[in-house]
Amino acid sequence: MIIINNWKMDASRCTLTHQGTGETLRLGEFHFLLLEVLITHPDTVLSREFLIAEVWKNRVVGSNSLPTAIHALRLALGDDAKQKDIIKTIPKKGYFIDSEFITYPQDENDSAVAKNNSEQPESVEVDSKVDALSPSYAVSVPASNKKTAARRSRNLILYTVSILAIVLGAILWHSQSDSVPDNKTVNNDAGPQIKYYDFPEIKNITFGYLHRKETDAAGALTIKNKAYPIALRLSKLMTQHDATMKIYGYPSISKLSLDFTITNRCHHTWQVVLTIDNWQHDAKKLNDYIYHHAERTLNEMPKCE
Amino acid sequence: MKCRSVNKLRYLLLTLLISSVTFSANAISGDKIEHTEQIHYDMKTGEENVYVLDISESRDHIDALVAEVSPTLKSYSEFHFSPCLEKQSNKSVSGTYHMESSRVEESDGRLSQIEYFLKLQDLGVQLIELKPGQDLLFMKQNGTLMTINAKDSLDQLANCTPPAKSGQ
Repeated sequence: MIIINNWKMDASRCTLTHQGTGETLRLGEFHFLLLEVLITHPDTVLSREFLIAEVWKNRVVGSNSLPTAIHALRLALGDDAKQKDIIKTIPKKGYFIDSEFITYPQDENDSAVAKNNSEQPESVEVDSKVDALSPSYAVSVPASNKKTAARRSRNLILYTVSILAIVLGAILWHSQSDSVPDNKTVNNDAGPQIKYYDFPEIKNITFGYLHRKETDAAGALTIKNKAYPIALRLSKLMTQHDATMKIYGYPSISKLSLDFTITNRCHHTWQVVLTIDNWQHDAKKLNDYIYHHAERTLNEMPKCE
Repeated sequence: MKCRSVNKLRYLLLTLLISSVTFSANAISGDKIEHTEQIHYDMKTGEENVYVLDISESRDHIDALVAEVSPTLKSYSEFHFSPCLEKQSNKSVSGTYHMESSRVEESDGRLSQIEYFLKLQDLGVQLIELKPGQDLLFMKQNGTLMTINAKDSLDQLANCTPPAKSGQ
C-alpha cells in the first residue's frame, strides 16, 4: 500500500482515495503510470525524456503532455499550485517526487516497494555529487533537502530491522514446518475473494466481483456506483422474462472479465463469459453491450412451456 | 457451399459432443450450465470473437473443448489438463493446471497462442466455491472468470502432490 499526501493509491483501479474524507479520484491510465514511475524513484530527478519513454512508451506525444500530466497529478494530490511541494520541477532537468509525502503502511503486499526503497538509499544523497548507483537518467537532488536525507536514513534502519525480522521469522517457520508432515496446508495468501454488491431493490440479480486484499473499499464503491445502472436495466429484463441472473466480474486497467449465467423459470441455465478489452473506453457502450448479450441469451435459450 | 456444409456438420458434431459431456455430469447439483459462450470483444476496434466452450472439471483431470463460432465457424480444439491444487481457505483452492495434451484448430491464431503458452507454463488457477456443485474458476494468467459445474468438493480437489516440474 502506498499513501501519498493522505491519498491512497489503488493500482488495480487507477484511483486515489483520500484517507480522511474517503473521496476517490480516478486517474487516467497514463497519469497513474506517471505517478507510479515518480514514486518508484523518490527524491530522484527524472528527466522529461525518461518519463515520456517510461509512461507513453513508443507513442507519439505532444510537448505539453508531460507538463499537463504533472499538473493533473498536482491537482489530484492537493499539491499547492505555487509551492509545488510534492512534485517538484527542476528547471531544464526534470521532475521528482518528495519522499516526505510518501508513506508505506506496513502491509504484506508492500515488500516489493519496501525492497525497492531499501535498494536505493544512496540515490538520495543530498550532496551535489552524482550517485553512482542512481540510474543513468537521474541526477542528484539539490543539497537543500537535508530533512529528507534524515528521514530516509530512519526509513532505511526501519526497513533493515523489518527485513531481519522477516528473515528470522522465515527461518523459524521453516524449521517448524520441517518437523511437521505437510499434507494439506492452508495458504496464508488467500488470493482474491468474492464480494457481493447489495442492491436492496434488485432481487433477481446476484452481482459479485473478485476482491483482492489490496483493493480498497472506496474503489469497490466506485465500481458499485457504475454497476448500479446496468444492474437495474438487467433486473427489469430478467423480470420481463421471469428469469434470474448471476454476474461475477473482475476488472483490471484495460480488461474486464465478466461471467454471467441466466436461469429461467424452468431451470435452463445458459452462460456467457465476456472478456472486454478497453472496457473503460465508453461506459454507455459497455452497458449496452452487456445488456445486448443478456437479452440475446434470454431469447436463444430454451423457452418454458 | 461444400465448405459451408462441412462446417455445419462440424458445428453439429461439436454441439452434440459438448451436450454429451455437459449432461454426463450427473453428480452436479443445482442448476446445470447447459450452454457456454465465451466472447472476446475489443471496445475500441469493435472486433468480436465468439466461442462455444465446455469445461469439465474433476480431481484428476480437466477437459476443455472450445471452438470459434463467429465470425468464422471452426472445428473444436481440445485441451486436457491435470490439476495440482491445494487448499487456500475454506472456500477456495488454488494451484495450477498442467496441460497434458491438446489438439488445436490450426487456423485459430488465438487458441494456438494459448496452446503455445500452456506448453511453456502451467496455468495458474483459483477455484472459489459459490455453492455445492458450482465453483468460480479464476484463471490468473489472463484474469478470466468462469462459473463451472463441479463434480467434486473443494476438499476432494485439494489433493495435490506438487510434481517436480511446476510453473508455480
